[in-house]
Amino acid sequence: MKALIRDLRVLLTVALSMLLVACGGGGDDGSITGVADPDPTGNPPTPPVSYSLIEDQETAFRFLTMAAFGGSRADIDALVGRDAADWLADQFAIPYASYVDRVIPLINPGVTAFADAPATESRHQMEMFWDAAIEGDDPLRQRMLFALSQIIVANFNNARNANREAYYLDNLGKHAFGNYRDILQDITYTPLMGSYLTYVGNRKGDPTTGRLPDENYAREILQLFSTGLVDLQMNGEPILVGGEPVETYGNDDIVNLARVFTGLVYDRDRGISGWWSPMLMDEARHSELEKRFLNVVIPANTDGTTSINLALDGIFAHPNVAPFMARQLIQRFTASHPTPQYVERVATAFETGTFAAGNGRTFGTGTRGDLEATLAAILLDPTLFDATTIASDRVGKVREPILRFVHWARAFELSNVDSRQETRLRDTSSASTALAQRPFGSPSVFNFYRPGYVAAGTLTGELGLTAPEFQIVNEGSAIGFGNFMTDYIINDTPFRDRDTFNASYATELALADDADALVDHLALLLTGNQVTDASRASIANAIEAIGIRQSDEAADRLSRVHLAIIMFVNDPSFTVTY
Amino acid sequence: MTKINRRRFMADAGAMATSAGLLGNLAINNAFAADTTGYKALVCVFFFGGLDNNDTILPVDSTSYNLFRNRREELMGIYGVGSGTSSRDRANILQLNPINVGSLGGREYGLPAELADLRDLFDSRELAVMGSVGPLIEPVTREQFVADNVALPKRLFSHNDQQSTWMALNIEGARRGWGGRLLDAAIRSNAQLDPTYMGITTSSSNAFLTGDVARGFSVASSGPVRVRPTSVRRILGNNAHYNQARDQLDAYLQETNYNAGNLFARDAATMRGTGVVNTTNYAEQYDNVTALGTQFPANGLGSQLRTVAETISIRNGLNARRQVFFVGIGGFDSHDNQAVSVPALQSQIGGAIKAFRDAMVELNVWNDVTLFTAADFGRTMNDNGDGTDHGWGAHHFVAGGSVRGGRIFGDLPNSDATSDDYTDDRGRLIPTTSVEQYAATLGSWFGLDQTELDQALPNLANFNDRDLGFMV
Repeated sequence: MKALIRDLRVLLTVALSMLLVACGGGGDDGSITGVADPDPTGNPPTPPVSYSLIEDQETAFRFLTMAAFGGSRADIDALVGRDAADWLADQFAIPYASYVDRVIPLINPGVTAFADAPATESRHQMEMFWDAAIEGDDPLRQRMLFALSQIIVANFNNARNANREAYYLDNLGKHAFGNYRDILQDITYTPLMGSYLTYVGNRKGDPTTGRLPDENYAREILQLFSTGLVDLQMNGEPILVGGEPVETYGNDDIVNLARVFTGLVYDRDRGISGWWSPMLMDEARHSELEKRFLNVVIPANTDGTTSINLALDGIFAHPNVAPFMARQLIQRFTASHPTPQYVERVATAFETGTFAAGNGRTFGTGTRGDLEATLAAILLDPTLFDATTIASDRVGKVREPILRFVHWARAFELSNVDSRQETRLRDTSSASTALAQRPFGSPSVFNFYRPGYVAAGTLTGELGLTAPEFQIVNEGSAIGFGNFMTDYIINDTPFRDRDTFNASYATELALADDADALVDHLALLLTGNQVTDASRASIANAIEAIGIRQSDEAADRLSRVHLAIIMFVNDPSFTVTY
Repeated sequence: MTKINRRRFMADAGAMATSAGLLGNLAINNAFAADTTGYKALVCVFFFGGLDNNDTILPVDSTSYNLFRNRREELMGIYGVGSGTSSRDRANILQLNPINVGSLGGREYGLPAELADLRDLFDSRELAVMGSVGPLIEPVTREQFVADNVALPKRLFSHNDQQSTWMALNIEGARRGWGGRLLDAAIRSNAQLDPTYMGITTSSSNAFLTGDVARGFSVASSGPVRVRPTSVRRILGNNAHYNQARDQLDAYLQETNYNAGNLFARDAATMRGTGVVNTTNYAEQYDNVTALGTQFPANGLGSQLRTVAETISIRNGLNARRQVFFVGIGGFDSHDNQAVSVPALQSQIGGAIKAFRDAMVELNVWNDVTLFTAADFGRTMNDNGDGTDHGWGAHHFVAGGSVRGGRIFGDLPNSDATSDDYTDDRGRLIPTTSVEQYAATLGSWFGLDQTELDQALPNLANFNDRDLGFMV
């Protein structure tokens, strides 16, 4: 009986997945695999094969690259035969490791006053992120934290202390598999965001001096963190009226919402821990005027805390939030230009708070805004496991440089990963000498790139396909990226007398005498065998151009390995996961 | 090394059906009349975040000044106004004495001390002020704005969309900027022009320099970049044993075609190959730069403008006769801390533009180069306590040997935010000159004829003045 119920549940979930696909309006999404054939004999049906069962190394590679930061050959092999849904469930179960808790011990113990906070350096939590991304056992959470930090942006470029930034990261990280409403709530009260979008200390208007509330947060929480600018369908496409998009709010909404975000101040009485505590409401500074925006009316004389709660409820309730967040989160994980159908499936999971996987697992609490369900819908979308869809010429994701650097580090199982020793990692924002991207360091609240960016003069651009990452991955950064990677590949990044970020390349050196074998090995490890035959041939020829001399065989083998990896990390099949 | 320019890229792409549209655009042959003789360059200096125009062109006459001071009493207090030592104290404002009086109605204006270098350029008639310019579809009054019965640019007051509108005449997603369109017209008119280094950015890659053919080539202000694994011999091995591998690596990195179906991967290959080839060639040319005698300030804008000056100095080696440069610095979104951040930025602007002018004089090309400023938008007349919020129209600077300097063009309205010059009492200035008129005046000097200007600037026909008169 139990088995039958399980089988029925599997069938039901597969049927639900198909239903969602069908609701998307059909089109270019390909067929769904893994549906059991009806059995005419009336015998219990054969247990269906889950569509998200990972059957080969190439699928394992793709999944690890999209859901995590890639992996080693052992990571790839360990995933073959598992269901992607089970891997996700394991990742969701790993407890969150707080950044604040790890930063606190780094604070000088003599520093206790709120005003002393700048004494700690802002790079600590970034180094912790690099280490966690490269070696941590919770790559999905770190990917989500990184993704959220690119949507709800508060950069660290001008910030003064690690505590405040770690607290912001914690409010993304601890809710990474939680609910988006909680993120809006907690981020609004973080001292970092209060400072970054300049509403800490924001006061109500004063008719005698002409002063009016700061509009910065009001504008960006709508435009970037929740609704976007125009009314959206569930599939992320704008609702058109008379052929034109409909603007979701106007300037009067901003003027009104700005009144909501008055009165917040730092909690200085807590001493230094005020930097990792929610800001407080100073009612005397809060606007008592009526606040009228979107469909929300907050009556005059409503207190500040209640006003913020009502405002965030109203913002979160807007129907744009699901498709707006769904499309951007998909772009951070799996697809530069997701189809409207894909966006709608993910937005539906955000709305319903639940997602049913192909192997019978369900994800999410059933509450709107559930991010576990949303992530499961992104990473277990049936099209990601469907051969026809994968073969399409417009699937896949241009990977941001940080993801590619970490992928290299994970692939070669570095020893001595200690980002504190790596001066080069402190600021990787230069396009000419580094990654054109620094974790938590985008140049503005608009992130490193815009979700709607279409690269002019390109094949994807001519088709109107969005490719946000091409805003920083382009002609201008090509050499810088390759140079930065080269320095790491050849372990040419010394600092003091510590040799960190060491790749032994033991496996690769053992293959170095056989160019084709080395290429085959790296083709799987770094591209999931997507690399073209032409590139394979170019790389093999270049390897063979270094003859292995008896007098210098160790050096020649090492040069072969370095050269091969340098070429692979510059290959389009490493830049783009598809 | 052979450069990869857009013509070659398009020829390569010609085999692909998807490029037919682009090639079709190139085939629209109208007058082909743009003047492409000699050398001319435009340099756009973009203030990301939106420079507060009200805190840049300051009122000097006592009536205007007091009105202004009262609109932002708290901010002026933070500036220390009244102390006698603040750059915002009326007595310390560097007055501009324009040759023309224009529409100022007796009002007098000046610059803060941080912009003393620009005041000097104004006095020597090498710099002009363009007042109240911003994105417009057609002329707008406050009454029309409030009644919402006039065509307006979309998404006013939004950073990214107004940056895009300033650069590319439409909200984010617009793909062709007016810098690129001006270059396109020159390229269409003269088949001998090499597009590779005609558009150059020392800042972000953005739509401003992108046209049908024109593209923005990125130059690092820290100096040209070279491919390390082939140019640094020890990386693969010091001796000649590794030369063949180095050559093969070079050839591989220069490859622009990628024989896969996936379009993103094919684009990535084109970008990598084009970037490697053109950047390497630029670096080879850059070796010919003769050190400039002019010292540039050691800051972001200074080093970018030094790079522009150096690039102009090797224009013959780069085979460039028409160029548009894009330079940009951030930090102007002064919602708070304005009394600290804006003066520091203004010092940077003044020093860097003065050095650029000196370098152009040193290179004997100042008559051929015009620098102009741009920004997301201006900012509100009223403060929010310690900063200002997003506005619309703003005031900008144009500098060059061919600029009719020492004059104020357009309007500098009074500071009364309740007046018809503003959208609302917060004090968001309604532009009286459109970005397209500003662009047309520069484009006309750059060599475009009226037909080409209309092609490049779709709303220009909605305005009477097609030439604002600030260029000779």
